[in-house]
Amino acid sequence: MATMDNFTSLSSFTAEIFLAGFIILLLAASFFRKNRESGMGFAYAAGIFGIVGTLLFELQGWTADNNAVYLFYGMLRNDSLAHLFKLLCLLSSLLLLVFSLVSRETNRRFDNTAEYVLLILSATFGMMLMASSENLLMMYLSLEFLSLTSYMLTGFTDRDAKTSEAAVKYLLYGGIASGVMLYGLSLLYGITGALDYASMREFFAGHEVSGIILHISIIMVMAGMGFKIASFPFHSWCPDVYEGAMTPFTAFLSVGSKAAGFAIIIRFFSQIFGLETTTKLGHTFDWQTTIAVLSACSMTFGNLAALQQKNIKRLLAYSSIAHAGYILMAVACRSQLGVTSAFFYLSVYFLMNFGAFLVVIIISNELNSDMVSDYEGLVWKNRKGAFLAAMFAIYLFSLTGVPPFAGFIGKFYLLLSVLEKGRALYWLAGVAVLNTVISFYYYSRILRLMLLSRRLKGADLSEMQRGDYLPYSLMAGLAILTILFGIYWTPLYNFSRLAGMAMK
Amino acid sequence: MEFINSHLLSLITFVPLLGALLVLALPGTREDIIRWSALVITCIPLLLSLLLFAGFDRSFAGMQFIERYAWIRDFNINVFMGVDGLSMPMALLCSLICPICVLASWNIERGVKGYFFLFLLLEAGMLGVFTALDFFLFFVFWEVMLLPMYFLIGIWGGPRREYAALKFFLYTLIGSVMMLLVIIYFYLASTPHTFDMIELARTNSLFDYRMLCWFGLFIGFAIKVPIFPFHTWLPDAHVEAPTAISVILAGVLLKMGAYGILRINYTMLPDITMRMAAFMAALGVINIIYGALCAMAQKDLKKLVAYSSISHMGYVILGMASFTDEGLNGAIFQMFNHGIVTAMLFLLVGVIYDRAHHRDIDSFGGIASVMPNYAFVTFLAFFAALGLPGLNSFISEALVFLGAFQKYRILTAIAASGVIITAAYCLWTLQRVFLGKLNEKYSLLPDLTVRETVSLVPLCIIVVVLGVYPHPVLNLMKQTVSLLNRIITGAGI
Repeated sequence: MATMDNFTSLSSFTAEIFLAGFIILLLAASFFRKNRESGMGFAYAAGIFGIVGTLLFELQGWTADNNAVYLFYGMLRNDSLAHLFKLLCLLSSLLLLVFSLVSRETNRRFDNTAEYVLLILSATFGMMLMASSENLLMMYLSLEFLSLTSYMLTGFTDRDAKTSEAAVKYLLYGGIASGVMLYGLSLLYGITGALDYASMREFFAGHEVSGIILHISIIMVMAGMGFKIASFPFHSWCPDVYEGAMTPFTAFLSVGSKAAGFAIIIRFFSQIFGLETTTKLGHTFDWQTTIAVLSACSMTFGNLAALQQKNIKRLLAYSSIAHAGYILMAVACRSQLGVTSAFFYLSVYFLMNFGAFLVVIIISNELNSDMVSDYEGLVWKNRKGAFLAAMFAIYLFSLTGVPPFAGFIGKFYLLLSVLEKGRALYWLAGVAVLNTVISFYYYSRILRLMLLSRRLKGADLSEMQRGDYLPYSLMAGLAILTILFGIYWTPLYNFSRLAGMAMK
Repeated sequence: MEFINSHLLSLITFVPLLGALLVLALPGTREDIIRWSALVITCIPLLLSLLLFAGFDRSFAGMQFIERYAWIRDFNINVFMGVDGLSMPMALLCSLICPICVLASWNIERGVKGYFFLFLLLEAGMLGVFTALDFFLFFVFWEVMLLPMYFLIGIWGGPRREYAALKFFLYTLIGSVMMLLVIIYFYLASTPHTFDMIELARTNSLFDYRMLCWFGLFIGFAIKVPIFPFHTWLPDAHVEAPTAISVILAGVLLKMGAYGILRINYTMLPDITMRMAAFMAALGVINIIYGALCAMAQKDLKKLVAYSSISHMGYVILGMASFTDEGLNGAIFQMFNHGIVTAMLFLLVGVIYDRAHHRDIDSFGGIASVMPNYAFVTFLAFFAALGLPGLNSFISEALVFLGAFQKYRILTAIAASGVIITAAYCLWTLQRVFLGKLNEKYSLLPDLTVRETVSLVPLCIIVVVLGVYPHPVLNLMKQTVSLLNRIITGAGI
């Protein structure tokens, strides 16, 4: 284990340095522009350049040292889990920028695109730190960094009351959640006298600690983390924010920010308390059951609440609560296979949920509506409608978890890791598969309206234009990957396994 | 030729899949080209399975035409295929029914390209289920079949198609997620971890929770058969589906449930199966009687045929539960025969519906005088359904009773009364539709067209030939059946 001091750490920190430098540069540049309307294209181009550059630095940094290193005296731990989550978050930000370019909401009404892009880049910076934090303070700060930028991005347009309501709700809820979490963290600090995970782990290995206090502090910490991944019972911001925020950002919240949240959850539990139950503390403190119960509640609540939703963004919000539950299931497994499955599922979820939101964005561009009922008869309208409906069907089936789509493989691994843990978690697998059936009921409502109904409702669709090729080919690309990873997923699995192997 | 012989099963399974992609690439406006290419594509598996039929070693009980390719090495998942006497008749049935269904879907007008794309996908899924020997692969095909079915019922079906499609999908999904849990459990319980069905059947005694697993699998398959009380999706789906899809549903899909029980419950958990024998036999008898009584009460011709399917699948379950060579042979033969006969019945219902635009049994009458050829074929089909000696179903039902009577005297006696009810509703229906006074409204109905005749004649020939000389099919399954029976009865002791 190599712990680096501040100066030597910098060489392993190039991607973050590049991004931070780029943010400052862009901030400075945005002061000098002449009028606020122009420069939209420039701002997006700069943003995409920044993310791609960071991505390249990140890839280069990963191939340079594959081993885990502790940076800045153990504040951060750069291991393959961190690298993989950073890649996932960077790709989410990239897609967020591309989606923003495509969406009617973000590419017309804006007059301050540069700030929008800046905030996205800052959020990305926060997520990158989240992926590698191995210190309670660092973890808290990076989480707050992402949260603060997310509040601003949620309320970025003064479109209508819903947006403002969403932003305020998000801010208030997030403030409380992070306060509770901070209290939990301070309890943990009080127990162990340490802030970095490695020392805390050492402490727990050598001391017996009262289970009640640990439970209380863990549940408080989960409030902050559960808020980030939108899992029950810390989810109540989620539907309103998803509905009120601009759709590209909603997509980002449901994937990128959730993935970053899972990165800190996985790291927190596996690095402090250990994956395999060989450590001494197992006998009084059972975080496995706590997480398993949260997971079961989250998926059941999310799916049941989604049944009645009429707005597609709210529907997908509840579906994302349910998916947070599915992934938590893998965290509760407390095994390397569990971490692997969690990452595998997140990357599959990245493909299918971004794909689904891209369809929602395009349909909303065309129909000017987010209501599910306006999707009626979409497939019969024209070729564009048929294409959109077919794509949405692929993503929805994948979200349900039906082969031959990647979503099924993701669920397969989740269930595999749960069943591998033996009879203690069999009930959880049962809950999960029942939820799969429930979830199809509301996904099928969209399918039914789009594909099965013969009545045409809502506005007509425009014909194909030149500007349409980017979003449509992106959509097809995500769908092809969804199918491809459903048929042959070894490459993705091998990457995910690296994430699992980093945790012990 | 060498290549074809050594890759026969993968060709049979994946040609429809490639064909589906081909259809997707064709221009959607050239509907005739799409129809003809679908017909040609579905004929390829038929020809290949005739090769399979010719090359099948009837004196060997194990798997033949085995192919194995690594798929996901880390988890020991293989593309592992093979056929034995159990799956061979089913694969043959499936590849035979599909071209006929393409002919029956010639008059589909809306979204022709999508229809045939999904249809070919469905065929690949069905053939895959019958040929897969890797449990994971089996599950993938099992589920892949669901998606096209959902759309084929939901888009091209009758007035209540949306409800029927959703009900079908949800029912099957509940069954298949339970199966998935059992599959993963088996995988984890076996050492080394494997999805190989043959290997799992060999090492099955290692598993715990055998009863739970048995029920997980059984319910999954029972929904498909469908066994009472999981049958309620069937009347909805069959009635709302377009003709060709009803044919597929009744002709092939229902067989998958019974095939799954035989292939998986029987070989992997033989001791539990033995313990559950009486339970299964009782369910079979309920199916026979209940289905027949329901059929008798129907006013809609298609619903009548749908309920008759439930009744006929009861014979399959009863025969399976007898654990005698006769009973098992009869059950598998009955699966084959029911596939042929019920396909005919649904095709015939489709013919009359296309002309009269309704299926109300009571409002027809005397049709035989205007459509003599149609009447002839329909009489043949209904006589086959009621088990008239000389036609194929008679032999399989007789075998089932012969086998079952050795084990369950009272149950078999009750089941035999189902034959009488079946005869009653079949004859009563024929009388109401074809005999009596001609309803003037229908005096101008045209008789069978060439397309309809072409799709019905092969089935008529099979019905008659197998009724007189059943050995071509019975020989296929004989060895495998007695092996299967030895496994079960061996485990029960």
